[in-house]
Amino acid sequence: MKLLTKIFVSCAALGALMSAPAASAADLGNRNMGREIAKMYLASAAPAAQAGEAGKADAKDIVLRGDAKCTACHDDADSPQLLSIGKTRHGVNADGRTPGCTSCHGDSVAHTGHKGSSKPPKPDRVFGKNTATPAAERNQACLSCHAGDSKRHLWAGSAHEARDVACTSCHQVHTAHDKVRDKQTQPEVCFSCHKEQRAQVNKPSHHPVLEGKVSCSDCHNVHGSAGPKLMKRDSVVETCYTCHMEKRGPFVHNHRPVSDDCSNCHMPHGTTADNLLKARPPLVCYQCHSGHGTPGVAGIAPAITTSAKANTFIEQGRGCLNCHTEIHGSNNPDGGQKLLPPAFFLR
Amino acid sequence: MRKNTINGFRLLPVAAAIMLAYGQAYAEEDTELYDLITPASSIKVGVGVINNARDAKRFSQYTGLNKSASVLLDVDYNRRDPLTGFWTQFSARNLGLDTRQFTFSQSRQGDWKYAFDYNEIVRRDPYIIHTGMTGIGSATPIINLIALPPGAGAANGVVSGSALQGTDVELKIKRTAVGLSGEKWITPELQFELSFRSEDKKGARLFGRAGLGSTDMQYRPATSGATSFAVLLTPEPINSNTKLIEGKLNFLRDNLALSAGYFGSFYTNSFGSMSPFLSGNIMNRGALSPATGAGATLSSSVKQLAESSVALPPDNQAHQFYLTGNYAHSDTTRSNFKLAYTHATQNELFAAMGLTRSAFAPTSLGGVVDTTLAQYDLSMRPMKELSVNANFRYEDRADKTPIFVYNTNGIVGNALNNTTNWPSGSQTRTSAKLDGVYRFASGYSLAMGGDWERKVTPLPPSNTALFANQVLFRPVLTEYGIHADARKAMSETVNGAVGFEYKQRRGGNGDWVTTNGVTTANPLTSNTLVFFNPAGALGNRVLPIMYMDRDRTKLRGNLDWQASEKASFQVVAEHTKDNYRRDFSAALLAAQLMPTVPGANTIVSDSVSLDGTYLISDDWRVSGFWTYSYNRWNVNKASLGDDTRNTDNTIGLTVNGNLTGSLAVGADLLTTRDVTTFNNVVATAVGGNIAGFAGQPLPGNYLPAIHYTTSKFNVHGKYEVNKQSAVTMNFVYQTFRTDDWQWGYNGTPFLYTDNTTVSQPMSQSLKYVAVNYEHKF
Repeated sequence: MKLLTKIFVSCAALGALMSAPAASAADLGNRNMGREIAKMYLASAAPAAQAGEAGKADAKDIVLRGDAKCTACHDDADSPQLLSIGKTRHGVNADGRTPGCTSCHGDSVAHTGHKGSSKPPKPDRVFGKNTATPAAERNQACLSCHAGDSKRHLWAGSAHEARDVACTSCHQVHTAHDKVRDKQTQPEVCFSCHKEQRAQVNKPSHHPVLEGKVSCSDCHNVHGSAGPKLMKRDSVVETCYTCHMEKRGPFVHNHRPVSDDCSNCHMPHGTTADNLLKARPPLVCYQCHSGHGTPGVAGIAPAITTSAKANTFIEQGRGCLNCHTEIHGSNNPDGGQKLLPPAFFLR
Repeated sequence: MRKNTINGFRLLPVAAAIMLAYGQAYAEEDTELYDLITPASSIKVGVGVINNARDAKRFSQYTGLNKSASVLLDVDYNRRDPLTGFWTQFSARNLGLDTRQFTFSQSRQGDWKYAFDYNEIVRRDPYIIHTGMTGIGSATPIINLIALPPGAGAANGVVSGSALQGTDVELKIKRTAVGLSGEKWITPELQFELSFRSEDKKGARLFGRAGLGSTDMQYRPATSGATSFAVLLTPEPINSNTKLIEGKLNFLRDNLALSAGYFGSFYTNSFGSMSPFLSGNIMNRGALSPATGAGATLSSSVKQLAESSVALPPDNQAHQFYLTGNYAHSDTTRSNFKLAYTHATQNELFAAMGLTRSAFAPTSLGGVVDTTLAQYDLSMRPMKELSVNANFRYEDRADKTPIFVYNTNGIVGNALNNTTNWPSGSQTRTSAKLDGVYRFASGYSLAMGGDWERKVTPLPPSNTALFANQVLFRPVLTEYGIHADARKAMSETVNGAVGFEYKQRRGGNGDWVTTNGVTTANPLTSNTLVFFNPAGALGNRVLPIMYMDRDRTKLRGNLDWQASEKASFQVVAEHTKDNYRRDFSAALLAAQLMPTVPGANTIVSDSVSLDGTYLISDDWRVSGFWTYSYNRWNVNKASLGDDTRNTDNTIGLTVNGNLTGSLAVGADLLTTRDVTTFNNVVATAVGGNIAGFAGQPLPGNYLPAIHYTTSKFNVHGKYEVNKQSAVTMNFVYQTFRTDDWQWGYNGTPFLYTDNTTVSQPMSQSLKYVAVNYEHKF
């Protein structure tokens, strides 16, 4: 807690220091004063941006640079939801990289130049659900700025790109709350396609996805990765180790499937068996250990029947793990005991 | 890097000048537009009440709602200076619960950013442990014999327990994480990113240990020579820390983007080992074996074994250096790549862990695993209708851990004697794939492709005799795959796709070998009857499923139908079947032990989902879904056909609407029925051991089916008092029922040697009400 306090205080102090010039502007007064400054800022941007806009000389930008071309019609009375882009990082005019409407939707000359009472032709690029704009073309509008982001370096050729998933299939641009960027609401976006996982996270053994503590993007980089199944790290095991590093080893006695792929035994999205196991032990163990542990035959398994003092099988309790507790590997170097050999992951 | 300019003008002076000149006029503007385009803040405070917090284990497993009443507090603070692009944000959730989390960040957009975050979560184990053990969560738990629970009578080989009454214990693990991240644009082309995360993990989890009294591991203690046997529940003590640190330098110029970075991960564990202490004569058993009925007192040697140290996860660390990037050769051709090298080590001193080592073992493992990764991807669109993607990936994981003799039990003829560790992490994977998509003008597209992967695993050291003749693997595995998808898109009413995938995995020239490097016959075609015969000299073989020949077939389809402006439907279906190839002869089939040939047979996974949405009116909307999934797990082992089937049906219904302009209401129903059946076939019943589940016929379904049924009904409403404030209410009714026999069956509990038992409420239900007041500012 001390460390936490120190870090937090340091952050606050650093923030206060770094934000001083801006804070002085924002703190000129109350919320009204802040509003005035916003409008002044917009006013300062508008005239120059509109200089080349023939026919809409009287219109002023509302949110983005050069948006007068669009907001002359799509204003707060017509399409108030569109203006919410002003709440987002795209709406920060102080950042010279931020787009205008036409940066994404294209110049849309036919759309903006339409006259008459008939329905105007659509803009050059439309991002809605049933749009006729190809996914690659929609994505290019985003990638023209975001292709250089380090998390999107491997987008080209990734599973989502290959399946024509558009950025706007998941992201909402004209809102302050982009569901897919919020840990609590992200799963419902992913589940709109990944239906089986939606059911799996409701199973008794699951990561706390629906509880809002683990999100899909904690494990997957949906924008492309070097790992299989868009894993965030370079492999399944490397991704799992970021939270379950105690399983990494290497150990004196290694269990080969562990370093191969966690999903040899586990189903990460949810199972009925404890610990996200594909099936309860010993059944999950039988997939490889098919030559021993036979119920009712002299071997290891029935020993549990007597030792545990109940007429139970190895199928009960923790199954094989009742004894083989170090199933991910044992670092015990003890070779002096003839019994309980660590090599069998017993201790 | 960023200058606070627009069109060449410094913003602050411009703003000041405009404010002086036009301030009055702007003051008269309405505030609605301002609210529409300016980041908002809010605070939400409330209380949540549960009627049955203690027994609702499944509900409170991760939610932090485990008390009768809880304070609910969420904060979302956003401030932005439009003149400079300076953001201050603070987001906090669940501040009144032990799942609290918050993030504080400041940034000057396009220039720099830093963020601090804090995150807590407590995982409450859903089981109740009834035990006399003390010191749970420490490295030295003390085991005390307690009184027998009901249902564990003499018929089960138990004479008596102790007068000591146990207590109920609930395990939990708390994770507390702090993170710090930052980024800075050094020049318009160069950005630096840094992130750090440290997570403490404390508590205890279900664990255990066995104590054996036989002369060798391979014989059960009920045979002659056994003195006793112990199975103990000894929760694993957890007090560890995980640190992740990543720094990278991003370069962006014209068509080239590069990122060079370091990613370090560090694990430290305060506990090196655990040594339980057995208090008193807990092993004084009246019926050691149902066959003999003989009683025995725990021998000192077995007590010593049961108290011997259990190794806990050792400290370890890894350092990765990488270079990723992409290059746009043209508007239609792009390359991307990743190069990475990882050096992972594990060298914690055995003595520091509280572990004794064999005479020939070093002071620490000195574990080293080096991984080299290279990936290249080329994406092209040679014509508007056609896109092509080619990918090559190479990963070499070299386990360079030194080899020493760790097993020195001194018993002549014992398989373990004078054998070494096996650094088994080495593997080289090389893969390539080629995909193409052709898009027809009609909106149809056809995607086809193929992939190839080769895995090479080196042989273990020759004196890893531990598993000699017992564990099989293949030094070379090759897998080929093809796939095809037909899609219909860009329709305003119907979109969909159907796809097919086939993969074939086969062994290489060396085919099957034992881990002592001896090439052996294919276990699935050999006529050697000792193979997999547990009574034979070469019995107990391990046949890893990941090395078996496999044919994988996958079919999938989806349909998205906008039936009308108000109604839409979606269907998604997928079928996967893994068939583990068997080329055994009819003679072998007839001669082998029941059920013929061991090893994986088939694994099937099916799922179907139906979704529908209907807009009743502008104010009301209803949606629902049904998901069916089926998984079949068919594995044969000696004397057992393991045919486990899991069927799951999940239904969800949601209604949302506006009763008035200021009152929005909704309801959700989510119910899941999960059934696992064990259509297992057992060859013979020996010694009556299978009689534990009374009434289960043999051969046949010797394991009873397991059912899980969960339902959650949620009604919520939000009343907007005014534009700045609202009151929300949430009511949840949740049920959980199961007949899982994992910890007890038909009134007879699974009993640890000290009479410890584990249970969970088989029927759980709760009502939860939360009321919140939300204020926006």
